[in-house]
Amino acid sequence: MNRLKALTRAGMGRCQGRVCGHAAAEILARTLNEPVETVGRLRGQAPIKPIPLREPV
Amino acid sequence: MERLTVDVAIIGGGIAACSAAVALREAGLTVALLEKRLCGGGASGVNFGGVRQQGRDFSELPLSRRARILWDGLGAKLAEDVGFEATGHIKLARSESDMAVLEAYARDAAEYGLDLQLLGANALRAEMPWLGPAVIGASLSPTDGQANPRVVGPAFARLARRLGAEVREHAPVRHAAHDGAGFTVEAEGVSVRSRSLVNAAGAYGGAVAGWFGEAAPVAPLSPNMVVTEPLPHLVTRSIGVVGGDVYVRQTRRGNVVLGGGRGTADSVDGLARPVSATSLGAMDKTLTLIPDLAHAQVIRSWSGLDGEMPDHIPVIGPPATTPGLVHAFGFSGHGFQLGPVVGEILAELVTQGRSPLLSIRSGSSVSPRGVGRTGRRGDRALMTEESLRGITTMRRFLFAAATLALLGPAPALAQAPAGKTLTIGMAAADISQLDPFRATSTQDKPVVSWIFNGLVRFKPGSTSLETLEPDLAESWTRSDDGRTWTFALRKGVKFHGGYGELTADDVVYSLKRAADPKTSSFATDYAAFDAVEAVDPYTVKITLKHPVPSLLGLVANYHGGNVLSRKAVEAWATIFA
Repeated sequence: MNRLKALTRAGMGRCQGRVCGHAAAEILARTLNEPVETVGRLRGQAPIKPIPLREPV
Repeated sequence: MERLTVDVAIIGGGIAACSAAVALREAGLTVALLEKRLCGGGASGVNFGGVRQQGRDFSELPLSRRARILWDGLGAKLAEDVGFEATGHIKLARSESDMAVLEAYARDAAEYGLDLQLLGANALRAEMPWLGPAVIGASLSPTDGQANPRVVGPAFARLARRLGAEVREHAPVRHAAHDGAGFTVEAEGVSVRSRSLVNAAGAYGGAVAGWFGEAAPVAPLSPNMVVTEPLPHLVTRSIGVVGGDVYVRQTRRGNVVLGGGRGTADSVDGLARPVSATSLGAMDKTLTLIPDLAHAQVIRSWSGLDGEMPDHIPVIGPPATTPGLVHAFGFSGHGFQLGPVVGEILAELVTQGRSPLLSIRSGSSVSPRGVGRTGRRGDRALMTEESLRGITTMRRFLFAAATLALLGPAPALAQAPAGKTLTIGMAAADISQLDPFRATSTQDKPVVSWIFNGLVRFKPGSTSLETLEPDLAESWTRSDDGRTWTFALRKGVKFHGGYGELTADDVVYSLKRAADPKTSSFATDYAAFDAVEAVDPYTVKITLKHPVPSLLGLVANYHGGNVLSRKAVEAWATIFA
């Protein structure tokens, strides 16, 4: 999955893979004809949800 | 186990390594490239994406100038879009002294054929009305730009494959040796015999050099990067600042990429992580430059592993120890733009034993390349053979010692034994400043590190926070809630120049100065400091707003942790400002 991300930037958009990640893993697994458990998962990267540049007061 | 026999083996799979594979194939040689993970996934892929000549050390500028020409044709050569755009690179001044730095650099850069445009406040506002009031002027390099680091390395690797190079990923190299006839490189799953060997192993380049008797002091360097969601186009130029503590660009897609400071790295397991406090600091600094970004949403942060040399200048060239071996590593956080030209140079070194861009002198140790070969005119110092020898000597010394000990704080502040002078050349016309809270340039930082000490110090040869050791403080305690730290100072430490004994007052003065944005480029690192007090002449108490696990890193001999003599600063206030 992390290689898929590097090649296609799936998981690099606004949801950071939190929405699209599972679907992408399913597609990758089906394409490789392997169980979805074996394709790995995206490494977590801070922040866990989008945060504004300026802290809201 | 796969066995390959080729003309050239390459260790590493970054842009330097992959572009070397391309250039060597174009020269008709057979090539095997061994990458421990994925090509272009290391420092080549995680960096800011700046394609910048401006601000480079003059020893690198000729290479950077040549690389910039190659960038124009890179998309066509790779037959892929690498996102390169000559948006210009603008370096911002936040003070009059910043502006003076830009003026001096622009003057010298002109001698290398790099034209920079100095912009005053009005001209700058006219072009970029979205800049904040903290910015008072700038230097624009119109030919610089940006590209997408995620795609450049893999694109080079694909071209190398198309040209017939044997590219092996997930093939970490365990060992390489020369047996008199050629090289044997043992990697996971593959063993390579070759006549020549290119060491482009990035952060591990020093260790690879060590297999051939010349270990190099390469320290892990991790950028700390942040990116926002895509936004309407606003930031028209790639942006840097004097001091280098923050940099910002907006991608074609609209994401704003910003960075500054460092993440944490472990070169043993190869993992690097961004540091939240550093990300937040870079976000704050970005807002002072571009206030309109206040509501932009940050979606991701990242880091990666690069290798840094003590003088921040990469090692490119053949060592004296082993014929057929060529190094290119230690790009010290600014290798992305150079990548395409490094491949060209490596191919020249392998096929012809020399490269016109390097002016390698025979018999020199790991070559400092063509540093400063361009003579200077007028009243500025000429870069002579003398100073070149100095540089080579430094390299030799560092290689021989394979330690950063020399670059650490002076062992005793006042009692250095009288006698011999060690002359060390630097590839710079002059230092620009010695205020440790402002010095961030390539040439200034090592000098600062020789002069100042902190309460604690990085163990010589290490950049790990885990092994910090006592220096000006002989011991310290931390309260149970982690908010109060008390340091007991070493007694009898004297400042240079007759400024008397170090006391708690000097430490308090220095840390307050480090925390003040008016006097420090690192002030945001100290945002959690609530109070710094002298309990008695040899005891300093730091009270924090909230616990800071890495507090010792903030009082170490780096950036804001350096301790000044209050008396000396006040005596020289007019020039030490």
